[in-house]
Amino acid sequence: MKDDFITIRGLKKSFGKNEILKGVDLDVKEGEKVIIMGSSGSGKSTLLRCMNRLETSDHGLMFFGERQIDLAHWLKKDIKYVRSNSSMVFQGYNLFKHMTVLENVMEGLVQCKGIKKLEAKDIAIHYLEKVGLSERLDYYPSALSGGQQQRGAIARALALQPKVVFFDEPTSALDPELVAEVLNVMEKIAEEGVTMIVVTHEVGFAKNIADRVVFMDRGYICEEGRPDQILRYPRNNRTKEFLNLIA
Amino acid sequence: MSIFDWQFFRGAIPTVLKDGLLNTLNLTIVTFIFACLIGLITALIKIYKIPVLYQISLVYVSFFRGTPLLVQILIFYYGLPTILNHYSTDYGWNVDISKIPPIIYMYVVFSLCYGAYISEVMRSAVLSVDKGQHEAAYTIGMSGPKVLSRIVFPQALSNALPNLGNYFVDIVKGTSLAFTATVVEILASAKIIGARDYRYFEAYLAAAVVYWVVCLIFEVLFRTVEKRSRKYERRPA
Ligand SMILES: Nc1ncnc2c1ncn2[C@@H]1O[C@H](COP(=O)(O)OP(=O)(O)OP(=O)(O)O)[C@@H](O)[C@H]1O
Ligand SMILES: [Mg+2]
Repeated sequence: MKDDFITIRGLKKSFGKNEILKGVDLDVKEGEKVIIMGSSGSGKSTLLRCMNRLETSDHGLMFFGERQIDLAHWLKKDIKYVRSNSSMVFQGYNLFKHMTVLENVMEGLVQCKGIKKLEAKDIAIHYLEKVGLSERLDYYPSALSGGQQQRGAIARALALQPKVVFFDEPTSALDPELVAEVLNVMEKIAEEGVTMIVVTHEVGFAKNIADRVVFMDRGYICEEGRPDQILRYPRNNRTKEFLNLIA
Repeated sequence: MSIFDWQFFRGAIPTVLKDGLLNTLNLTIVTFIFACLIGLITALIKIYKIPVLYQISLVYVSFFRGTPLLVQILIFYYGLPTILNHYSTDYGWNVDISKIPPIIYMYVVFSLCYGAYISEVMRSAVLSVDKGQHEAAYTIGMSGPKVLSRIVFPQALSNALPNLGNYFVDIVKGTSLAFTATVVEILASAKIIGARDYRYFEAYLAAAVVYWVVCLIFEVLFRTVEKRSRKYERRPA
């Protein structure tokens, strides 16, 4: 595996008086699949959202590709750089409601990458086939199941050919019988080399694809390691408790 | 003289249509377009709390919602020309203020008045768009203005359509006040033919019927547009 693609040092973030992230260091290599686990409220979503500037941070440094970014003072061009080289899959799917699945995937290609419509359509269809939605191109999100919406959102994120895709609990809002179809799609794309940072509690999925599992607790990373070791032989007490809870 | 002259009434309707309808529609549509623009801009100023403009928009909305339209019309129709006249002689603009047709003043005062009302519609429509929609748009690399124009406004607009439709009908009816500023719209034209034969009752009733039909037509129109704009919210059977 290549060098670190993302390096974060000393990330701190408070909401009002509550310090949510208390100094997080994280390194992610290019192509690496990192799973983030941890109890509710430990700051997992906030960590992801500080990386693509959906949230501002109070302190911290991030190297993202070639760029060095002061997380407390983002420059406009750095925001643009990070967002055009990353994308995000949300717990609540967030497909654009007024667009069909196909239009959802084409939107970023046409509006942000400046790709011609016809070409964008081909690219979009390619990715929608990959997630198994080629029969549903002209459906609006409201006409799709949660699993289908999430697969559409994954296609939208991937079609932009980002260096990194952030996933924030992509299966937590799904009915149990729909979780597998989304996880299968994610395992498939994991084989293709894109860097993935995934917040999830799906232990089986983590074992299958993760290069590394990171545990968060109360604003810190409390333990990290290879999935076969850390999931079976956690050392930190909080990690143990958490794994017992979700097992 | 009979109480109700059918003949006259039936004759009054086409006359009202011919003499007044055009100005009513003209004033309504121009007002609606500018009121929507003013309303949207005011709403954005309020949502983003843009300094100075924010305070100005608060006063603006409060004034135009807190005073009767008729009073605003009188102020603009009698007050504005006086001020313009004053400055035009002072600065030697050399424009003849009396040549400005009264409907121009009505465009201004109606747009400002309804813009104030519609700003509240626009504000809640923009705020009703889910935060996740904004966030998803940012994460695919969209710039702020594009997020608004491509994602937020289209969704906000279909949220706003029912209310906008109501305001459109309000404006149609509101334009009847423009007769005080000598604009010959539906009511004024009815008044004129009524005065000719002292058949005010028939003439005003003819005006009412025309207003009613016009409002019904636009209500149906807006409902159709609204249905089409909401097609994305329906689950197919
Ligand atoms: N916009 C916000 N304003 C105030 N507090 C917030 C905000 N967003 C998150 N928080 C708080 O920050 C803490 C961490 O939130 P975060 O969403 O990062 O946790 P999480 O680890 O993702 O939890 P979960 O598993 O429930 O998603 C929580 O206590 C939450 O209430
Ligand atoms: Mg979360």
